[in-house]
Amino acid sequence: MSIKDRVLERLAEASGGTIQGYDRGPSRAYVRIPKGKVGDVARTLIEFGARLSAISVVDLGHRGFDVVYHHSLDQAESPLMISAKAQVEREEPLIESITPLTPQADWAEREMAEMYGITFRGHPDLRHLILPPDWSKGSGSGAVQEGAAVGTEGGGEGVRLPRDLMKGKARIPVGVYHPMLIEPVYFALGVDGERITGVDLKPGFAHRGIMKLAEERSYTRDTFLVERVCGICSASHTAAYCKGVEMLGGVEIPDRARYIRTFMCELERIHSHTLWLAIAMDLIGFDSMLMMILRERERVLDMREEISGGRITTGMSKIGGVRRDISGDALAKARASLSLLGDAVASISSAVRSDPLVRRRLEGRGVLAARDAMRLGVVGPVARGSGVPMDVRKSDPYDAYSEVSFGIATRTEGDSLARTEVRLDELAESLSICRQCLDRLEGTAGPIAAEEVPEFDDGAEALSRVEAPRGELLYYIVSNGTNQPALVRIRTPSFMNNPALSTILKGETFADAPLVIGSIDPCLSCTDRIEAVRQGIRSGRA
Amino acid sequence: MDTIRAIRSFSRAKSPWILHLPSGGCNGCDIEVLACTGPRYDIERFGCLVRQNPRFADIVIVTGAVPCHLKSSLKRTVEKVPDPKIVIALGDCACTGGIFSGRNYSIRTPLGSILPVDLYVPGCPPRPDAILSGIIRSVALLREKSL
Amino acid sequence: MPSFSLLARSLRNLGKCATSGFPDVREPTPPRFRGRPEVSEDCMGCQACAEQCPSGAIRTEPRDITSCGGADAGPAKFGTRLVLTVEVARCLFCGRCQEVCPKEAVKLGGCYDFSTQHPSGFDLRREVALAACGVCGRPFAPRGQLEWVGLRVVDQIDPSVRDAVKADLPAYRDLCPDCRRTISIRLNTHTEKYI
Repeated sequence: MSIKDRVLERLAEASGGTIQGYDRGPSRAYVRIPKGKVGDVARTLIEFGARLSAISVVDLGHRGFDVVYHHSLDQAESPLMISAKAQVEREEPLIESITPLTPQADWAEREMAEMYGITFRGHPDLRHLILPPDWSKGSGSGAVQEGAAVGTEGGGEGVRLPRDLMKGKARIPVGVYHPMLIEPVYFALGVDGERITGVDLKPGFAHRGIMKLAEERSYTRDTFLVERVCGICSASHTAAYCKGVEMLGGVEIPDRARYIRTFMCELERIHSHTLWLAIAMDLIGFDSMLMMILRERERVLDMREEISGGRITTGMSKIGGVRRDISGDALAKARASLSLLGDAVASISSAVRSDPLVRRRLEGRGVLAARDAMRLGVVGPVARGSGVPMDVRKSDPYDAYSEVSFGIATRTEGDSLARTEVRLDELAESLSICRQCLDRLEGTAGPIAAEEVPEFDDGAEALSRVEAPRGELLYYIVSNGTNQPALVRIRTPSFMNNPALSTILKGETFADAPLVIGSIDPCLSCTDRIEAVRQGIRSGRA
Repeated sequence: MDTIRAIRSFSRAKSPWILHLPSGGCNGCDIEVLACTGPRYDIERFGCLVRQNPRFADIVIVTGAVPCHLKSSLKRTVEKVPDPKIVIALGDCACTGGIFSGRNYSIRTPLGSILPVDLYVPGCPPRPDAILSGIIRSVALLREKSL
Repeated sequence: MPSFSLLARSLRNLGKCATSGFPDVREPTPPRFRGRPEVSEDCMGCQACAEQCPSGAIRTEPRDITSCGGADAGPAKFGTRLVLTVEVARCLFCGRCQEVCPKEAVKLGGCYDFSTQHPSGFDLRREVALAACGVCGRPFAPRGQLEWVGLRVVDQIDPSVRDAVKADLPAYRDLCPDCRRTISIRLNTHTEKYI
C-alpha cells in the first residue's frame, strides 16, 4: 500500500467517509472534503508530516468559492502533493481556520481573507496583510471593482499593530523607506534595551495585483508577466509557470529544452546567491568583498545576455519549450565563462568562510531551530540551514534534475552563518549542474520546443513547483477552457520565509537586525503579488 | 552673488548624492542600480554616491509601479529632498506602468502623475549603461537647475 | 586561520581595469541583444505584434488623411492610413513581436540608451496604407496584408481548386466584408462551385 493510498484512506476516515478524490498524475492528488471537516483533515495530514504549502481560492462564480489547501509530503518516498478542496458559499463565505493547528496557515489565510472576503473562523489575527490597513473591509464583497481606482492613499502610518505585542516597551518603526531596508516594507520592532522582543511585519508595499492581471491576459502574455513577479528569480518563475501550463495540456517538452531550462535556472541561482552574498557583505561592512563579488557577478549577467539577449529578464522559457538555443559558439563561450566563474566563486567562498570577522558577525545570530523551521514551514536555504533537507529539485524532480547529479547542502546550526554556508555550497553545486547541462546539450540533438500546445479543458488544474533560489516556488493554475487562465496562484518562497522573521529576530540585538533580516534573503516583490476578486459574479463561468 | 551661485552650482553637480527609492517594482531595476555602483560601471567615477538619505540627496531614482499605499510615503520622502533636485523615473514601471498598466486596482503610475519627473529612463530593466547615461544627463540638468 | 585567497585575487587583478569606458567607449552588445524593436519597410500592418505584445507597447490606430490630391484628382484611393506606434517607455524588450511577425519585419535592434525628458521621446512610428473597399470606399484592411493573404490562400489551398480560387480572387479581394456579403451572389464565389 503506497503512502498515497494510506493518506487518502485516513483522510476519508477523518472527513466522515464523504471524501471524493481524483488524480492528476502520479504525484498530485485532489480531494474534495466537506467544509466542516477542514480541521480534521488538516490534523490528519499534519500527522503524516505534511507541510501546508499554500492555500488557494478558486472563484466559482455564483456557486461560491473553492478553498484549496495544498499539502506537500516531503518525507514520502515518492513526490506527493495533496490538495484538499472545500467549497464555501458566496453570500457568507465562512470556513474554519487551521491557523491554531499550524502557523503555516497564518499568512496564507490572512491573504485569502482580504483578497476574497472569506472569513476564517478562529484565526487569531485577521488584519490586512497585503492591502493597506484602511482598505475597506471584505474586499471580496465589493471593495475592489473592475478598473476602478479605489482603495486608500494612506501611507505606512496607517499600519496599526497589536498593542500587546510590545507590552509597554519601546517600539521602533522601520520603514516604509529606510536606509536599513533594500525594499519598501514596514517593520515594527519592539525592543527592551538592545534586545528585540517582538516583531510585526507589514508587507504589501510592492503589491502589483499580478494574479488579477494574469487572469485577464492570455497564457502566452502571462509568461512575460510572471517573469516580472521578481526580477531576481525571473527564470524560476517562468519555468514554474510554463511547467504548470504544460501540465494542464499534458505537453512533454523536448530534451534540449529541459537542459536549457535547468541551465538557466541554475545560472539564476548563482546570480541570486552572489547578489545576496554581496548585500550581506555590504551589511557587514566588508566593502572590498562587496566590490569583488559585484565584479565577478557581471560574468553571470554577461553570460545571460549572450545567451538570451537580456541581463536580467532572460525570457528563455516559453510554453512547450524554450525560446533560444544554446549551441555551437554560444555553448563554447558559456563553458569558458563558467570555468572563470567557478574559479572566482571558489576563491570568494573560501575567503568568506575563513574570514574571522565575517564568522563572528554571523555565528549564532538569528537562530532558527530545526523544530521551528518545520513548524513554520520555511523553505529553501533557510530550511536547509536549520537542518531540514528539503529541496524540490530532489523531492519532486522537474526538468533535467533527475538526470544530473548534485548534493543538497545542509547545516544543522540554523544561524546566519549556516544559511550563508548553505548558499556558498549551493553555488558550487549550481556550477557543477550548469556544466553537466552543457555536456548533455552537446550530446543531444533535436528541437527546443514542442510542436504544438493543445487547448485546455474547462476546470483542468495543475500544481507545479520548482526550487527557486529562495526555496520552493509553487504555481497553481486553473483553466476555464479559454485562452486565459481562470486562476494563476503564485506562492513564492519568501511568503513562507518572511513570517519566520518574528521567530528569528526575537532576542537579537537591534544592531544585528539588518543582517539577520538579510540572512533569510527576503524578497518582497515576490511576497507582494496576488490578486483581489472583482465584485459580483465572474462572467463566463457557470 | 552670481559668482557664489556659479560656484555652488558647479560644486553641486560635481558630487551629487543619489537617493534610490525602490517603489514596488520587480527588483530588476534595483539590482541594475546596484550593478551601477559596482566596479564595472562605477557611478562614483562621475562623483555620484548612493546614500539613502533624502535630506542630503540631489538626485532621486524611483523604480517600480508605485502601489496604492506607497504613494503618499513616496511623495513625502521625495518632498523631503531639498531643491534643486532631479527625479528620475527608472524603468518601464515608473515611466508608464509597463506590463502592470491596464486594468489594475493597485498601481498608481505613471510616476509623472504623482511627482514632477525630470528624466525618464525606460527599459525593462534598463542596462547599467543606460542608467549611467541617465545619471550623466541628470547631472547636467542639476547644474542648469541650480544656476 | 584567515585565508589569503582574497588578497591573492586582488593582487592578480592589479593593473587590470574592471571598469567599462562608458560613456566614451561603448562596449558592443552581443548579437542576441534585445534592444528597441525596429520596424522595417516590409511591415504590412497585420497587427500581430500589437495583438501579442505583453505590455501593450505596440499600438495601432487608423489615421485619416485630410488632404487628398485635390478636387480634380477625385476621391483618394487609400482614404486612411494605419499608424503603428512602438512605445519605448512601455516596451519590455521581450522579442515577442519579432517572434510573431509573419514578414520578419520587426527586429529587436541594438538601441538601449533612452534617457529622455519626455517619455515618448524614443517612440517609433510607422504608417501603412489601408485598402479602401471597391464598392463603398470604406478603408477596411492594410493593403499589404490583403496581398499577402491572397498569395497565402493560393499557395496553401487544395491544388485541385487552386485555379478557380486564383481566378476569383481579384473579384472579391478588394471588397470589405460587408460589401462582400451583400453582393456575394453576383460575385459567384460560393464554395459549392469548387466541390
